[in-house]
Amino acid sequence: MAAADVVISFMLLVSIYGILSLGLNVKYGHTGLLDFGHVGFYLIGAYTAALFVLGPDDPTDFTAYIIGLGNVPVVGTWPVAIAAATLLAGVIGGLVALPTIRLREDYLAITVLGVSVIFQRVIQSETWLANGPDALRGYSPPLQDLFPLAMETLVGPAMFGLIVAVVWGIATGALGRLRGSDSRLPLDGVYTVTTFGLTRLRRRTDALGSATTVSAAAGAVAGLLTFALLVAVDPLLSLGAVVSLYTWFVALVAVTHHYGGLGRREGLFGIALGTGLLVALLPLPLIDSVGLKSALALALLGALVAAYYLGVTRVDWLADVKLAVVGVGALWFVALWYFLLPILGPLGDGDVGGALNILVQNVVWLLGFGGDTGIGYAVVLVGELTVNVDYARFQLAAFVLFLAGLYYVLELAVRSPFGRVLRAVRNDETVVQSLGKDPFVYKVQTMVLGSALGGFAGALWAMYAQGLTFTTFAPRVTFITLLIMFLGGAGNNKGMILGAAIFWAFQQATTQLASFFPPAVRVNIQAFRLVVVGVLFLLVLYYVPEGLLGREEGTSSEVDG
Amino acid sequence: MVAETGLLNAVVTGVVTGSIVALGATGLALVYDIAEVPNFAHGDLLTLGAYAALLVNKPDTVPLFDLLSTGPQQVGVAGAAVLFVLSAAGVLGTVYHLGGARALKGSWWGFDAPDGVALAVHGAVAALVGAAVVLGAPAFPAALLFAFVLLGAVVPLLESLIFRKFREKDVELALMLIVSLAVAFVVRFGIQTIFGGQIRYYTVETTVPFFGGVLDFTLAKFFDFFLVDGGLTLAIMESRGDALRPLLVMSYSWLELLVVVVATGAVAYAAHRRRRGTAGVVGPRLAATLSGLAVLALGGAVLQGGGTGVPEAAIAATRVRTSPLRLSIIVLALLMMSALHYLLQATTLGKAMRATSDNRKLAMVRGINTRQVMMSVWIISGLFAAIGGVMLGFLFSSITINLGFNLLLAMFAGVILGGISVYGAILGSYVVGLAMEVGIFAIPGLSATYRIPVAFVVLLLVLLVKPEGIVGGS
Repeated sequence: MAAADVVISFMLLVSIYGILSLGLNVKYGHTGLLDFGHVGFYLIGAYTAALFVLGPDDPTDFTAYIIGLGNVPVVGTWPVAIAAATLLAGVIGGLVALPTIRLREDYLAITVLGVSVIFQRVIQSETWLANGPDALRGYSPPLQDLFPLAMETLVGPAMFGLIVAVVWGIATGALGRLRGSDSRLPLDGVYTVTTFGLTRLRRRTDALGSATTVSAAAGAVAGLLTFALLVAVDPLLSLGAVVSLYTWFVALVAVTHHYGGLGRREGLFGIALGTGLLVALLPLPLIDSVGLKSALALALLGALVAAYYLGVTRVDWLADVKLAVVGVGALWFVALWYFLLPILGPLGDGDVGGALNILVQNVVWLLGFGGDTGIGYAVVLVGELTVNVDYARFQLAAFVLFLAGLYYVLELAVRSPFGRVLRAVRNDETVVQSLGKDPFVYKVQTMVLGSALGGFAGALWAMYAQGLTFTTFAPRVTFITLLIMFLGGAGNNKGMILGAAIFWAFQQATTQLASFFPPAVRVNIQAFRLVVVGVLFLLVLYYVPEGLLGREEGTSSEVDG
Repeated sequence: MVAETGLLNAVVTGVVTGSIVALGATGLALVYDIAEVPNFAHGDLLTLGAYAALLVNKPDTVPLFDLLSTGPQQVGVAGAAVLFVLSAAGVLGTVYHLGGARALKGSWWGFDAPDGVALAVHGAVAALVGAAVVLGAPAFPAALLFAFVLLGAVVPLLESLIFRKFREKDVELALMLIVSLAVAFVVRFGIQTIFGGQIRYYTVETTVPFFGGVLDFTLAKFFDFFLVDGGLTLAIMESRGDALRPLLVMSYSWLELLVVVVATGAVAYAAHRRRRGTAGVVGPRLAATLSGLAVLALGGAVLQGGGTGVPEAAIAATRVRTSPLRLSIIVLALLMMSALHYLLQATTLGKAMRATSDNRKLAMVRGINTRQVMMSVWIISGLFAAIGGVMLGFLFSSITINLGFNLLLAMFAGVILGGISVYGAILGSYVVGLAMEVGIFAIPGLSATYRIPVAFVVLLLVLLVKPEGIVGGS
């Protein structure tokens, strides 16, 4: 699997868990309700969505479920399924809240944890409901049969146009936010070009002039242009390359914007950390003996952590940037893994063309390469490339659009008067009461909203996983969501996305490491990485309890201004 | 006539379940009440205890430690030395937690003793326990003892390494909850990192000599109660394959029953009156219960008529299906609770604990060593968790990574029902245990996976009516 495909499945998971964590953040981060049973609503969303799109139950086969609405027109489609999952999770969230919400926070946490376990047990024991302890399968995600896209018809270009519209719109939106920073790059010029001149709209003062509208419009234009070009001529590879390069450019701008403040030695220390991590992991693929390679890798990792610890405690200039250097190191490590490691093999054999080929595949991440179907290209120096657009890319565009949309709506909600009341409930209920507002009502509304987001994430999970088992919905999911929330910063919506990204980056990286071990000890390795996750969580809670991004307090001046 | 299992069977099973829950819930409640940590890791401490006992019971299956093993359930000299050192270190470590080197010199004894004497006593106890574990291995009691002393030393480390750090930062209760959840994660998957994913079990010799014959204490026994015209008949039977073998038949006439019941009531009432107003170890209610039970047992033994066999016809009959192992869990739980009761009521440390529970600030002002109290709470929590976990592993005869976590919700239900106090938690645990088993029995079509949900429904109902739990008033 190419590195780009790994990253795409990673981003799908980040979207799902980002939405799940946004839901928990509404409950705990904004309102202060500690919901240890968040996974219960995720479960309800997943199973509801699956039952909406499954065909009617066939009594003769081995699976059994209460109802399958897949054959009903309109009702049995994914949009309705997602909407129903969201609604039902929200309603049940409200019902759970009614008796529990008045309890002390620790009692609340334990009782809702119990409620989520009850949901799980119901799925497990009631075989008629959703196939009991066995997996619920037999449905497919929407529009999957269109992929890989055929560019000869109109449908193919239209779908690719949609994907480009989403990617372009989000990249442009990000660029628009970064534009204000002082940078040596000509950001304003690039922004004018990539918005197709629509940036003139910003001069207007009404809703049309907002940055979000401009990015959305730019995305739409890009999508339409893609569609037109694909129908007229056949430049799939070039289009993919242009859009991918644009996203890399925005990512680069974001990184330099974020870490531009670091001096040269700080940056070099970060790069040294990232390289050190790579070196520490080298024994795993190179040495055969399990005991020896784990001991060596652990020793090297320990040395790296010790060096970092000594650095941030003894050296003054490092102490101020201790988190930033880790960020630089992680990015450097990811960059090495993404760009350098895959081409080392061909380069070692002296196959420069093969190496370039792989590099192109990873840079042009928007397109899938290889496979039997697709459009063949022959490129100078790089060689043969078979290009296609697979389903994962489409799903990614959809999921990221959902995440971005929900994030945007929640940001609006947080800054609204409603959001301010929620924060007041979290800080001091008596104040809320004295102002004539009933905290109980707001808490129930919060539970409904947060649980609905959990249900939405569950529906996306059902779509992504294409099969549901009750074991997936263990209390562990709530734990991971809590970790994501505290990592990013409770009360900070942007932090949820960052936290989900960090958690899943760690998961993906360590999953790959487990493949260097014989199957017999893989369970132990998987368990060990969860121990590391737990220890990291404790360190986060102790050293950075506010999270990496900290709490974002929307003050009234900010809202008014 | 053949008796069927009924409500009485569910009640007895419920008491067994309640005893296991209580073994866990006692430690959970102590820590919750005094150290103010709603410890989500407590279930995993039970798991830790269950796995620790494997070092003694089945050393050949423990990764790394199996290198020192010389055969099935056998350890060589080096392995024995490791076990000895670990158990002795467990004892000394437990004492050390009570106040460092000063505790080893007897500062926690409650009376003045020369340093040398205290050191010698602690050393001797440690050596004795170590020797008992090594000589007793791989038998079950030795494994139980090993887990007991090991967890007594290991569990307080959670307090001194993690929870105290957070408490010093004055974090909210919600954050403490999340910290304990992270600790639970680390403990559970730390165990799995070492032991892997496969299911384990203890290998124990389950037959013991009994009245000249042999008794398998894990095999089910049937206690059949028959109400016949003449009175009550109790038949104890053992099942071997399809055949039922009566072990003991006891029958009582109506008159005898009446005498026993009246005598029990009278003695209990007298004991209650006699102890009323005293605040000693044996209070009025405990005195009444103990003396009543004694009279009941004595009367039952003395008046049992000759076994006439299982009656042919009966007005009503019910069967209780249980095993000596299950009954011994009840006894063990009661013994542990009696020891804790004694500690709380009759020792200086216990008084300090109760005072800290009532009002921590006031206790500090009055010069109570709250840090020592805190550590002793964690030690007791660890000791109870070890017993609970090992007994749970033995009862289920399958030790998995989720062994304790599966029981955590029941324990929390018990603790919250009891309003977060030790005595309340014991009561709450039995309520939860009975609710689980009677609920499964009484509601038709409810499968056994619904045990925990039933406990939670009870908890939710109680919280709806009394948000502070049954016992808690303040």
